[in-house]
Formats: sequence, C-alpha cells, structure tokens
Amino acid sequence: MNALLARPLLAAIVLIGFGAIPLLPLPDFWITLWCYIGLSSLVAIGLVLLTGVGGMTSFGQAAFVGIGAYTSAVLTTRYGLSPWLTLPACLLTTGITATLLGLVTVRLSGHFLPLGTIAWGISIFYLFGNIEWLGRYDGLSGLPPFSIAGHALIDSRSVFYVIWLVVLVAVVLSENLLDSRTGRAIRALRGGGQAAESFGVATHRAKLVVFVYAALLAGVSGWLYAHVQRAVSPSPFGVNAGIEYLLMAVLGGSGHVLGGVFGATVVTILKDHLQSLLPKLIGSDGNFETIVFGILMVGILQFARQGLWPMVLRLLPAPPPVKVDTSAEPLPRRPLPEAGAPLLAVDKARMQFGGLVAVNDVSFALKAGEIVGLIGPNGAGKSTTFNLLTGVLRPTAGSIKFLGQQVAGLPARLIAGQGVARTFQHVKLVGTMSVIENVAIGAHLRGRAGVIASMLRFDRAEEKRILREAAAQLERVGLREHLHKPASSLALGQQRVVEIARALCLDPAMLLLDEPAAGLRFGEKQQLAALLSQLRAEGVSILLVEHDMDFVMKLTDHLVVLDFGQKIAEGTPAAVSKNPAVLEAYLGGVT
Amino acid sequence: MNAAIALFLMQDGVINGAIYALLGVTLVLVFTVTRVIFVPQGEFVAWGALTLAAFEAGTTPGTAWLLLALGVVTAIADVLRGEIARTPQALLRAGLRDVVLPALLVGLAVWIAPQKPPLWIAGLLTLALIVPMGPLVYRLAFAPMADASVLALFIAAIGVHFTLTGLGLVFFGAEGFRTTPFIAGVFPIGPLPFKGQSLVVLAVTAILLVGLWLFFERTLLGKALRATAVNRLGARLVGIPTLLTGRIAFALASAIGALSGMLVGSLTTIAYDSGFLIGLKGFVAAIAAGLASYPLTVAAAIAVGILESFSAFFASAFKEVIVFALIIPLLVWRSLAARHTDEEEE
Amino acid sequence: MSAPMLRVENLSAGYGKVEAVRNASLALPQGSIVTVIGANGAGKTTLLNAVMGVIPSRGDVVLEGTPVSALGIEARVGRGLCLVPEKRELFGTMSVEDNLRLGAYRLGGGAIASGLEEVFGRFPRLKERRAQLAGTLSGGERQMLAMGRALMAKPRLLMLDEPSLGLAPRIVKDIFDIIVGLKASGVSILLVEQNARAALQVADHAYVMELGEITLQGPAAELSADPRIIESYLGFGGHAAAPAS
Repeated sequence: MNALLARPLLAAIVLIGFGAIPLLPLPDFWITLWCYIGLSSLVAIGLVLLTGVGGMTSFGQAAFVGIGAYTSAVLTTRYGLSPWLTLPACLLTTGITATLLGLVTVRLSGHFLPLGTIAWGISIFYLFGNIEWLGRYDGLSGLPPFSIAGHALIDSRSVFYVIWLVVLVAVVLSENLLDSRTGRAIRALRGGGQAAESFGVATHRAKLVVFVYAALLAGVSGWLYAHVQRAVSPSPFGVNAGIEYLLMAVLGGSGHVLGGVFGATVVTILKDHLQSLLPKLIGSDGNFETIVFGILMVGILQFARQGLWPMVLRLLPAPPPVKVDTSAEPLPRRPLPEAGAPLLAVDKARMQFGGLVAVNDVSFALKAGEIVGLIGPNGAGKSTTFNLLTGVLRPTAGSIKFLGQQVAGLPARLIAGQGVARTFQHVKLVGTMSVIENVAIGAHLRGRAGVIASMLRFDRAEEKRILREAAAQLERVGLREHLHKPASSLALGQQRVVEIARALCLDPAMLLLDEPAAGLRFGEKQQLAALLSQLRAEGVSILLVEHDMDFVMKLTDHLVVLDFGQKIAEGTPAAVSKNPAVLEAYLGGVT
Repeated sequence: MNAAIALFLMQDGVINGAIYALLGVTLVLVFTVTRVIFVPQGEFVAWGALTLAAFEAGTTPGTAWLLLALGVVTAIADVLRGEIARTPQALLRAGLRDVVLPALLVGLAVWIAPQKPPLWIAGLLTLALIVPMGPLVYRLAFAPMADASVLALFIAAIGVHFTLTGLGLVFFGAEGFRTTPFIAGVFPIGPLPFKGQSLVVLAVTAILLVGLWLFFERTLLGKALRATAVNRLGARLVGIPTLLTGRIAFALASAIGALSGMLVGSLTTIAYDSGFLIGLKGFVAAIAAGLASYPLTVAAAIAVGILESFSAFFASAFKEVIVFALIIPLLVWRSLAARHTDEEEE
Repeated sequence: MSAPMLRVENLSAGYGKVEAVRNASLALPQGSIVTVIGANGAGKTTLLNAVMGVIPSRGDVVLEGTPVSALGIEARVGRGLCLVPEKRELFGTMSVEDNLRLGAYRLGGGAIASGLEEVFGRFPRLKERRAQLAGTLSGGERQMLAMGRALMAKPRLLMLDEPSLGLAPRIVKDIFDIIVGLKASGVSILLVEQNARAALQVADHAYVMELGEITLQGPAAELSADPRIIESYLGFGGHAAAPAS
C-alpha cells in the first residue's frame, strides 16, 4: 500500500468504525462510558498541550471543568437560556479565570506552578461547595438537555455524537496549532525557552496561550458535562479529579494530542472496572481505585516516562515529513547597513555579581561587514559579555548601542527584533523536533500568523514561505540531507551548524556566535570558515567567541582580548598576537 | 469581637500553626535533600492519629499490616532492581530489616492492642510502626528515579499520595476518630485558659525544632544532609551516599508526620483523608519561605494558623478558600523573587 | 609495586547520544603525576567524570588492580579515588571547616582532627578563614578548599580538573607548587589542564586529547618539545614568535 495513503485511510476507518459504535447492539452502559471518555479526552488533550508540549503541569484542570459546568448550569436553570447559547459564556468565564490565574502562575518555575494549581483547585472546590447561589454541596439540578429541532438529546446514543464531534474538532484544532509558527514557539518552551526567547518568541505569552487554551478545552468539557449529566455538584471538580486528568495525560504520553484521548480512554475504563471490582475484594465501599491509579502514576514515571502512546505510535505508519515548497515566495529581507558603517558600540559595559566584577568597563566597537573575535583565557568574562550583548543579562552599568539604538538591558527577544541573531555555547535545540522545524523558529519574527489563524489553517501561505526559508538556510550550511531528522540524532558538530542555520533564518544584520568551532573536525572547521567569510561578503557582520586560535586568526578582521573581566588588548590578529600582555595572559607559566 | 475572643483565636491559631510549622519544616528538609515535594507527608499525620486511636480502642491498627506489606514489597523490588545484592549475607540482612523486623512489630501490636496499653506505650508503638514507612516509601517510589526532574518527582509524589490515601481508607475505613489528650484538663495562664494538649503541642514543637537544629548544626550526619541539600554532586564526591541521606530525610518526615498526627488527634477529628489538607497548610508555609528557609517556614506556618483561626471565626464556610487562595499572592511574590535569582544564575 | 595506580581501557562516555570520549586508554603509575591536555570541549572533563563514576561509561576502569567500573561514586571514594571538579562543587552555605569535615565523611572520628591539621598546614589561608562561609571565598581560596576537602578523604589518587581555571598567575603558581608537594607525599595525581605549559612542567607523563580521542602520549618532557604540541598548545596559535621561557 502507498505509505502516503496509509494514515488518512487508517484515520477514515477508525472514524467510521467509531461513529458506528452507538448503532451497535451494545448495552447503554457502554455507550455512556464512551461519552464520559469523550468528556475526559477534551481535558486530557488540553493537559497534553500544557504538560507534554509546553512543559507546565496542572492538577487544577478539574476546576476549569467546574467553572464551565456551573456557568451553563446557572444560565440555563436561573435564566432559562438554551444550552447551546451558553457556550460563549462558558468560554468567557473559563477564559477570564484562566487568564488571571495564568498571568500569575505561568511565570513560576517548574514545581511552583503545579503546587499553585493544587491550591486553586482546592479553593475553587470549596467555593463551589459554600456558595448558596450555587446550591452549596448539593449543587444545581434539573438542567435542560441539549436538543436539536425540538428533539432532546437525552439518551447516551444521541449525545455521543455531540461529544465526539467536539472532541474531533478539538483534536484537529490542536494538531493544527502545534504544526504552525505559534506551535513551534510553544514546543520550544520545554527546553526552558531561552533559545526561543532569543529569536523573538515572547515565551511568557506563549505559555499563557497554552494555559488558557487548555483551560478552555476543560471549560467546554464542563459545558457538555452539565447537560449530559443534567446536574452539577462540586465533587467531580475537586483536586482528586484534577489528579486523574493529569494521570490521563501522563499515561497517554507527552507531546501527542491523540495520546490524551488514549490516556482518557484507558483511565476511564480502568476506573469503571476498579470501582466495581475493588469494593467487592475489600468488602466495603469507597474510592479504592486511587490505590491503583497512584501505583500506575509512579510506575509510568519510573518505567515509561514518555507514556504509552509512543508505543502505540510505533505500530502505526509514520507521519509524512514536513513538505517544503521551493516555489513559495521568499520572505522579505531586511536592508543591511553599508560596509564600514558603525554597527555595534559597547561603552564601559560592566557586570557585577555581588562583589565579583565579571565584566569590568569593557569597551569595543564593530563595523558593518566585519568579523570580530572576542578571545581570552577561560573565565575571562567572554560569556558574560556575550550575555550582555544578547539581553540574557542586564549590565550593571555602561552602554551598548546597536545601529545607534541603546539595547543594554533590553530583553533578548527585543534585541532579536533589531536584527541580532545568536548561537549558544551549549547547543539549545529541541531534540524531539525535526531539524527544519528547529531552524524555522529562527524565522519566528518574519511571520505574523497568530493562534486562531494557525488553528484554522489560514497561515498556510506564510508557513510555506517560512519553511522554504528554513530549508534554504539548511542547504546553505550543507545540511540538506538532514532536514527531517530529529535534531537530537545529529552529531554535536552538526547541531552547532543547525544553530547557525537557525540564526541565519532571522535574516540578521549581526550574528553572534558562541564557540562555533568547538567539537568540529578539521574539514568542518574549514567549511565553517568559508561560510562565515561568505556571509561577511554578503554584508552580515559577525562577532564570535572562540577558543581555536588558528580559526580566529585566519578569519577575523579585529580581535578583542579579555582577561579577568578587563579588556587587555585589541587590534588586528597579527598585532594582538605580538602583544606582551596577551602573551602573558595566555602563556603565563608557573616558573 | 472583643479582646478575649481575639486572644482565644490567636491561641488557637498559634497551636495549629505549630503543627503546620513542624510539617512545613519537614517538607523543606525532604525537598532540599531529595528534591521530592513530599505531598504524602499528610498521610503520615492521619495514620499517626488513627493508629493511636486504634490502640486506644483496643484494636490492632491497620498500619501494622501495611508496614509488613510495604517491607515485603520493597525488599522484593530492591532485589529485582539489584539495589540489594543477591548474596546470602545481603539477602539475610535485607530480610531481617525489611521483613522480620516489621513482622515482629506486627506481632507486638497484635499482642499489646487488646490490653489497651497506656498512652505513652501506644504512642511509642505508633511511631515504631509508622517511622519505617518513610524510608520504605522512599526506596520504593523515589530512589529509582532520583535523577528525574523535580516536576517528575512531584507528580510521583502525588501518585504516592493517591495510593496511600486509598490504603488509608482500606485499613481505617471512612470514619473519623479522636484520641484522648496526652495531658487532660485546662490550665489558666494569665487571662487565657489553655488545654493541656495545647501545651503539649507547643512544648513538643519547640523541642523538635531545637532538636532538628542541633542535629543539623552539631552532628556530622546532619551536616551531611545539609551538604546533600546544598550541592548533591559535591556531597557524592566526598562519599556521602545520597540514598542514605534520602532515607534519613524520609524517616524524619514520617516521624514528624506521625508525631504531629498524635498531637492533633485529640484537638480535632481525624479521618483517613484529613492529612492531605493539614499537610498542604504546612506547604503553604513552606512555599512562602521559598522551600528553602527553616525560620521563615516556622514564621509563615504560625501566620497561616492565625489566619485560619480568624477566617474560621469570620467566615467559617470559606476558611479553606481563604487559606489556599493566600497561595496566589504568595506565588506572585515568589515569582518576582525567583526571576531575580534566575538572572543571577546565568 | 606491581599494578599501576589507575588503568583505563577503551573508555567511552558521553551525555545523551553524543559521545564526548571514545575508546580512551591510559595508565598512571603509582606516585606519579599524569596530565591530560587538550582544547576546550575535547572531552577531558568527561573522561574524569567517567573515571569517578559521575556519568555512566563503557570500558574498564581499574584502580590498583581492582576493577571499579561497577561501583558508585561513594564506593570509589572509599577506595581512595577523589575528584576535584572544574566547578569545585563546594557547600557554599556552610563554613570552610564544615566543608573540610565533610571531606572526611567516610573516615569520621579521629581522621577528621588529623586531617584538619594536615590540610591547615598545607593551606594556612584556609585556617584563617575556617569560620567563613565557603560561598564567600575568592576564586583561589575556593580551589584551595576544594583540594583540601578532597585531601581530607586521604586519597591515593587525586584527580584535578582545571585547577588553574580563572585564577591569577601568582595563585596558579601556588596551586602547582602544592600539586608537586602532594606528589612528594605519595599521592598519585591525574591532572587535566588547559594551561598545557604549566601542566607539562609538573607532570611525568602526558596524554593529548582531541575530539574525544587520545591522539598522542609520551613523557611530559618529550611532549613539551614536540613541534605539534608547541604549535597547538604551547605557542599562540602558531602565529606568535616562540615565547621566551
């Protein structure tokens, strides 16, 4: 069978088979179970995006389900609205709550966020349970069912289609979102986001976007739940439910939208079985399934940290690689300053950490079309200087001007917006993403498609242009045959070159390279030197930190030498290499 | 509200705060040494109270059988994983420690329980049953993934919490219990009447905090724990076995948890799932202190206790909402502080 | 003395999928100083970490005739192997003296008192600062403390990773004097250095590491005179006139 057709065909068979479930002579009970699987799937899909893709963990998703459910319950029972009309209101209440909580919490480091989610999960649960207007712990009942043309969708066979249609839409929208400019930004969050930030991604905003999106999916699940169950009470929205949702996402697997559906299916069916089996075994009533769920959670983390879905995926045909359309219109270029024009001016830059002066009033300049090398022994302050230029650190004092504009203290993404692109000493690629997707992050600022456009696929023309640019830059650095491999499968030297391609995707006026030649073999170094010379000829200016003296001496126009945080010399390579202070710094023996 | 009520609420708050302080300090300790955010600490609190209550009622507490089961499972898992060498001596030592010793404790509990032992013997036996569970849980759940991220360890901790809560339900049922106070009666101190048990709580808290301080400041083992917390790699390079420090940290956690449970058992009704909320309040304090500083944790815990007792007075239905919603502004403050240190680390 | 202090055979190690050390073999005779020199990123630190057991590796590590590849870090420390890492890894919020005491964690008791006396004798500066927090020390003092802490464990083989890193030339000289002194007192030393000139001056034998592989080895004195070494590691990228020595 044609490999390209295998997946769509499989998807069609699964969809048709799935759609036929309510028509089969199964007990009602099974259909109802599948309805609940669909409801949980919505929450789990959101959590997969939040946890598996965005690297944030929430135990509080059940609270968002509750907000959606209660919103619709109040509007339909107290104000007599049709259940169909309350969806926008549910999205609004969940969205606003999530935005407020998100503004506070997405900035938190790894473990503070999930702790916070437990706290608000508990708060919102007790809030539901203590507000008279919401019926306290009894909740609200007598909610109207969904109805179509006067026909009420009460039995599970009819509501099955409503629920799973919504799940299908959520899967498609989520997959579209991941496969887009915004999606790449979100996927780049996992590694800490420093690289993404250096290419203009507002990482806090990207985090907030996933956070709110995940909450909205939970809210929609709550809206459906309210009118399937036709009653709401606080208990299904407590922290235990939140933990179960997380178990679904962890079990399904990080990073795969369908893994969320898979996890929801396994956990829901398992829970149903355990709830009928365990009380018989133990001889009393209670939620004993938590014992098994807890063991399952620890077991997954110990033995299959990636979840179970990747194992299922291995049995399925592989997805087609990202298509590159070479006929797409090239992205517009930025005008480069004329050769010899002043580009970068560092004036008395200073960086103090407590009492330690890491960079001590260092000044130097770089003209357009030059390659300048920043050298010095280990611990001389080169990396710190580099971090000042790229906005990773805010200088204690001094000025850094790029094209006449003050950039000292600006965040990294705004400096990127000025046309400054960088590579990292310790390679920062997203290992699970393909090489071309990693490189496309470099062109983030050259596109504008947002979340909604991405989900609805209005971004395809721009996306083609971005991918064409990424492919072109990879070809330029000689990695054409590696386009579709996962970045982690490349050798370290090649990964450094991928970083250069990513930087070139920004269409930079100035390129900052942190030890680009480290880990490269002799031939690769020569190719790199040729590439950098060619870039210089095209008008790109380069500042590089490098240890390989031979490489630096042959390539650069100008050298700046640091030692103990101070500039001890600068000039042409030939002049610097005869400078007595430099020789002392580098060669200072022990006798 | 008059001054007398305010003073009464303060007293109530400080006493609850003392318990939160113990739990918060332990959470900070376990986190810094093992990087585990030990949510299941609360289960040890509940089990401490329930085990003591069972001895008072003259029944064998379920925790006895649980200890034996945990010991057997852990020993088998460690043999399978190769953590326990498959030599006769190692197997014998592990068998004595993980199976025979718990079995002896079970025997002791079964024999003593119907005789309704005096409170202090019941208390000691409760500790003997629960303290070994801390290291066992560590070996079973956390040690195999000691190199995982804080986040993964945290999710695992939530999993352990889920399992232990369920087991608590199996062994103790859903009913809540109260224990008799260690010291009965009411003592007037100045204008305020103090329950005997309240004084016990304050005294035990003070003694434990001082004891912990001495342990960390004065003993090589305590310093080794601190060293592991400050710099794991550095600790391993000087030959401190981080698995051992992990076990000790967890033993302290289960000991202090069980002790806290025995202390609060006579002040409030405890059921199998009561520990979670009590433990989480210790958490609020620990988070306020950035999961790092012990004195700040104690101060924050007292503040949480006082806030709780005043909210219980003014808006009793929203007591939990107020205490846990407090975490949001605390997190804002922490996030501002954290961003600052992030910059310094680069 | 029959077995060498340390024998490493066909050692490969790395982080994730990237192999930073490939098939490295070396031997270190009892009581000698052996140095491994090479450029940044050549794999020297990875080599030491693998020998210490900080990261997993393939191949054999044999200490005084006993294979230690299957042992954890703690057990290797117990066999007399100590590493002073590039980042020092001190206990920053604890006092200098506590840092040293913990160095003798495995020995305990009387070893602590005698060890402190010996280390304070070798590093009088640390004695002056014994109550100060390690995190507040200067770069040179930190290196002294890191070495002192390792010496507390009474190592038979001391591995030093870039001991001169970030130190002023005068302090570098002090540190190397101490290294020579340690050898005289019977400690074997494996020294990784970027300051190849200094390392070759104190070492008996040297290995050169490039891109994760050992490419050259020989007596230190011979390598100092090897034109390839002078070109790559001792000269100034081959562009400077031969420096006056």
